[in-house]
Amino acid sequence: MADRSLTNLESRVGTGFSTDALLRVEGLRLYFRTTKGVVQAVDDVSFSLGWRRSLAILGESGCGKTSLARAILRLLPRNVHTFFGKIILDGVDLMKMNDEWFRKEIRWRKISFVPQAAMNALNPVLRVGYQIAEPLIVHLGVRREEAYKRAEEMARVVGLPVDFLNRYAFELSGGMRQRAIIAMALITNPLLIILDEPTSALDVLTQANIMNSLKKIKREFDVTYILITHDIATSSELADEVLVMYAGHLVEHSPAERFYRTPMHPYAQKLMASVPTLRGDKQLEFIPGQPPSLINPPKGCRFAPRCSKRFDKCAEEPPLFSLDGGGVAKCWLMAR
Amino acid sequence: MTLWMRLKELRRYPSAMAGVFVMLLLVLMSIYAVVRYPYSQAITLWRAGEMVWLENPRNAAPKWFNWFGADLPETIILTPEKGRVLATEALGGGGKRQTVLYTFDYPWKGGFPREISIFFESTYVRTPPQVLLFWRTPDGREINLGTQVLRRSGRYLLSADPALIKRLGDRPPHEALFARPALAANAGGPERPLPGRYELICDIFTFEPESEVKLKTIIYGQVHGWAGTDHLRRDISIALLWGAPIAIAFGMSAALTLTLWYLTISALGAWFGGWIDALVDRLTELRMILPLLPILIMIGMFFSRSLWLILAVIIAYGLIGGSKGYRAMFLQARALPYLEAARAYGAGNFRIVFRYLVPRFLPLAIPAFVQAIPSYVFLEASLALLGLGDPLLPTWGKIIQDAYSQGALFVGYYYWILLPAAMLLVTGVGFAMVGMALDRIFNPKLRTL
Repeated sequence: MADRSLTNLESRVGTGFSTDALLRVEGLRLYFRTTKGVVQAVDDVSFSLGWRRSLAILGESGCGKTSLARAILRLLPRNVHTFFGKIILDGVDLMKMNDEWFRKEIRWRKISFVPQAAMNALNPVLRVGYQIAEPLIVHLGVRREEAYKRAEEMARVVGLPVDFLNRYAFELSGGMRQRAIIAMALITNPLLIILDEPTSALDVLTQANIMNSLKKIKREFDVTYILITHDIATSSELADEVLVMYAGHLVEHSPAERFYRTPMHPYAQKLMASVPTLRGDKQLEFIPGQPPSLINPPKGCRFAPRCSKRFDKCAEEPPLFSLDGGGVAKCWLMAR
Repeated sequence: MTLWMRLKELRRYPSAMAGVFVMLLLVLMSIYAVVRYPYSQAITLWRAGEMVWLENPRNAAPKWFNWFGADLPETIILTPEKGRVLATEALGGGGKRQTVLYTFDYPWKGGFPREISIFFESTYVRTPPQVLLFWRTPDGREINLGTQVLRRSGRYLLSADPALIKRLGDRPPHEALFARPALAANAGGPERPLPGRYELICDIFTFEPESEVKLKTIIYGQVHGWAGTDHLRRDISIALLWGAPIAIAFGMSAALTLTLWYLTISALGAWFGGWIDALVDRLTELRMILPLLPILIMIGMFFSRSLWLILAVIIAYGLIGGSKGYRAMFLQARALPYLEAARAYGAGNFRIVFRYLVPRFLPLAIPAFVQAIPSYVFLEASLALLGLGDPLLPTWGKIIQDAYSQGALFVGYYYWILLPAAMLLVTGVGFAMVGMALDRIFNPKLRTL
């Protein structure tokens, strides 16, 4: 177990280690106002995530994955049209908090975030060590030396050489910067870490390294991950559960073991079929057509226009159907 | 530190090194000025009036004019100690007659002295002492300069004595006494001085036992110091020296304050957006249409001409709004991932602005800052030239204004205008060269492969 004795870090089980889920999202909608109309980036998404589970959110570019993460963290741009629903973290409804409270109590204390293009997420004018320690100093008022000590510890955990802490971001390689960001995400001992495409801009070796570090971290510090990626192979390394998004809708949420063997939603099936396998003779599949515009999404099932299995019923929007062996899928086929 | 490393890149630009040299020179000048003539002393020297400068010639050129063959006379001061007592003779009633001889060399061929004055101090009860003055030229002529009654203390303006002028053939004494005799006879032709050893003989008569006389003769030359003098006999070098610290202090404080302010306020506007951004931007536009110079002229005319008030007004004017350029940069920067990341980990707005946004663009502001310094120095000089300069402080602009009001260029006192103008020019060019090189180093848009 990692060090939990840091005095200023309040116990993460403040509200009681309930058997209830750590995170419950209910009917979350996030719409953006643009010059062309209202974009329904996240539309009526509900799911829950248990303690110490890791959830991979999969989907094509523009399907609302990142918007979902941002909605949870309330990292919203200025053109928000609708932001509505329930986000319950550890029994507390985050939607009821005001912005200042949310910033101080939730960001990084409870949820940390490894942003997309994390390589560029370090302040170019601060030393890496200070940046890793900064959330502790800012949020928890930990003394500088103590925070640095903790930063060194975290650097060791993520495999970042300690002497790199005295460098500036531009003096680090992409992988090292990524590690620094992960160290920063860990330093406040958050309940939930949201990783937005943590490995997308890295070479395969570094990707593997980072994934191993993340796995190690998960074992050592009971963290809960939300891993946003379009890289199905990478996600399979880490995920306990998989959530598939399509055009702002959640289309399938299943346990990983089942999902990687037999995805249920036709879109998830297509997605899986498009993953290359080593030395396989499998013909790679692709999905004809384009993802629909989120300004005027199709009525009914949003995947229907591109779906090879569509039938009359698809003109109506399907509900989430529970699946055998756990999980849900938003497809009329599951109703049979 | 990387900033220092990048500053060291300046060495790659010879022009920048020249600029750095100029800046160092100005700094050394400032230090010298402040140490040599402390502030209050400088003000006194500059503002106390002609009496402080009695021993200086009026409108003298710099001494180095003589290096170029002008051969103009320097000032000769005959103090009482320089005199040799030839004879002392007791007179009846406790009085005495003392003959004092002053000898001096006049080696200059290029011009006559400007004027001759004798300063005297005498003590007596009832009968003032008298002095008989004789002049002996190198070729042995002896000229009687007449008798003066020395009442208490005062100044005998020998070169303006009407009787003497008449006796010398309606010629100013300071020229007639030094002229070549051959040419002196040939009136109308250009007169030339006769170099050599001159003698001034003073026959001092005192009529009381306790009566004392002290004489000091000053033969004013045409060159003085390294910068010459102005119409009030003031040594221009003091103003030239003191102009440097004042210009630097003025330019630096205005440039530094406003550069930092523009960065900060533009960053705040761009980061918070909404009505804050709108307000800052409208204020910027307001400033852009407010004319600074007329405002300063009005304040100078009706309120005060203090340099520091002018500085305060310039800064206050700058505080209206921010900078369009910085705003554009910050708006672009707002989408940078590291700012998103900072927001994600819960950094507060002010923390983001002051630790993330502003420092990132600080290097870009450095060249702007350096280039802004001379613009404020020039602004001060322009105001001074318009007659709105600080009434107390000696500045480069004030020298030019004095010279201009005395018609220096029409009478040929070029040095009076050219020296302060050169200081302004060199300062401007120096800072501009450094600024442009810094721009090339820090501004990514100007970077070449």
